[in-house]
Amino acid sequence: MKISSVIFIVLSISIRLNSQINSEFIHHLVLSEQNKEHSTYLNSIANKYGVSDSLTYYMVKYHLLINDYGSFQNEIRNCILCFQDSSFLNYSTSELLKHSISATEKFWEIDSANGLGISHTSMLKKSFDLISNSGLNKDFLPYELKVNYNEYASVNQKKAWIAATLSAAIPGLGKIYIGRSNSFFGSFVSNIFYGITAFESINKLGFKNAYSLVSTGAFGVFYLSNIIGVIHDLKRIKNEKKKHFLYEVANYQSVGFDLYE
Amino acid sequence: MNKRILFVFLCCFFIVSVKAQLLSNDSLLSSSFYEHCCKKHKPRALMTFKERSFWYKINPVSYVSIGLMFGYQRFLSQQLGSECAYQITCSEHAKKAVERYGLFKGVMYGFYQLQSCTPKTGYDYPDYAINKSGEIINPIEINED
Repeated sequence: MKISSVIFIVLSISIRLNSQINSEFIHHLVLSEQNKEHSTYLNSIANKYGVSDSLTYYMVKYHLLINDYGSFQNEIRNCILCFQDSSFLNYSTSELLKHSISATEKFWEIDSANGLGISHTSMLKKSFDLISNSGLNKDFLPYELKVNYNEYASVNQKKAWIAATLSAAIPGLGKIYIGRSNSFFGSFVSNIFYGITAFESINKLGFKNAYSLVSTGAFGVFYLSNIIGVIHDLKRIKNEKKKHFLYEVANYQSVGFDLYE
Repeated sequence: MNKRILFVFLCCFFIVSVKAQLLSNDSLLSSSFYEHCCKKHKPRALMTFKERSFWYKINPVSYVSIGLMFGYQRFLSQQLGSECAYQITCSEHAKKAVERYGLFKGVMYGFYQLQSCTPKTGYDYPDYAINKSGEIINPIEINED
């Protein structure tokens, strides 16, 4: 019993002494925000001992820390440890999503090709699939995220042609339909004002009068822009809501996780 | 007569001295509070049509629209002194939209923003779409990434 404990202590000390990467030192560099020193330290280990999987793991973490997503994606391909750490995978996909949606999709592809595919069971990936296929089960979402998803789903159901028709019928009505109700008044008043001006000038001065032509042209531009703009705005709102929902899921997934704990 | 000259001299002397005091105060004020009291106009870029075709670049209608926009921004906009609810002002947005989407769509999107530009518009947008100055962040492109 005594011999085994002595062997254990000797081994643990020797392992600590022979370990290449000083994680406490890295933690200190991260806390004191010494990124250049952090990079120099990791490179010096690579030069001295060669690149190991644990070093690549720290390299990947470092690139994530400094938001260098290009190097992060290049490095993670060679990191077996990264694909075994589910909490790290969840955190990195959440951070990557804030940078780019397509980069996150590529990351999932890398995970299924090189890794264990752990990230495919994450809430973010399920939410991503839910967006592309609304028929999927959404019970995995907690209440606060369900609210965000319902908001996105309700906007996503809105049709551009309905918004355009409503705007054509009553200028500004399409804005209320797409959810920009506070700017309805601006559209309505400007269109009515230019419409009345054009109508009055044509009635009193005739259509060939320069003033009538200018006022009719102004009304035409305002009226058309009210219809075409609302279609463009609906696309923007759909995109905004999609991003908002995914960001909320990413934040929810990465909350409480510290990259260098 | 002498009294009159003396009176005029005294008046001039006081006016000059009062004016001098005002000038010194003005310089002090301007050096201290210029940053806070004077509105800085946002930088306005010229249209470049970098990604447009050759025929688009030589189209005179594009240059007329640029000229009108330039004239408005240079001479009219600063005189009006109105505050835009958007981060990229309506005229700047129209210019960039013309550059990105072409003349027709660009003008349409520009006028759409002009119609939507009311003090209450900000309430339609989520918090993350509003910058620190309270203006709506309105990128030209719908970036899906």
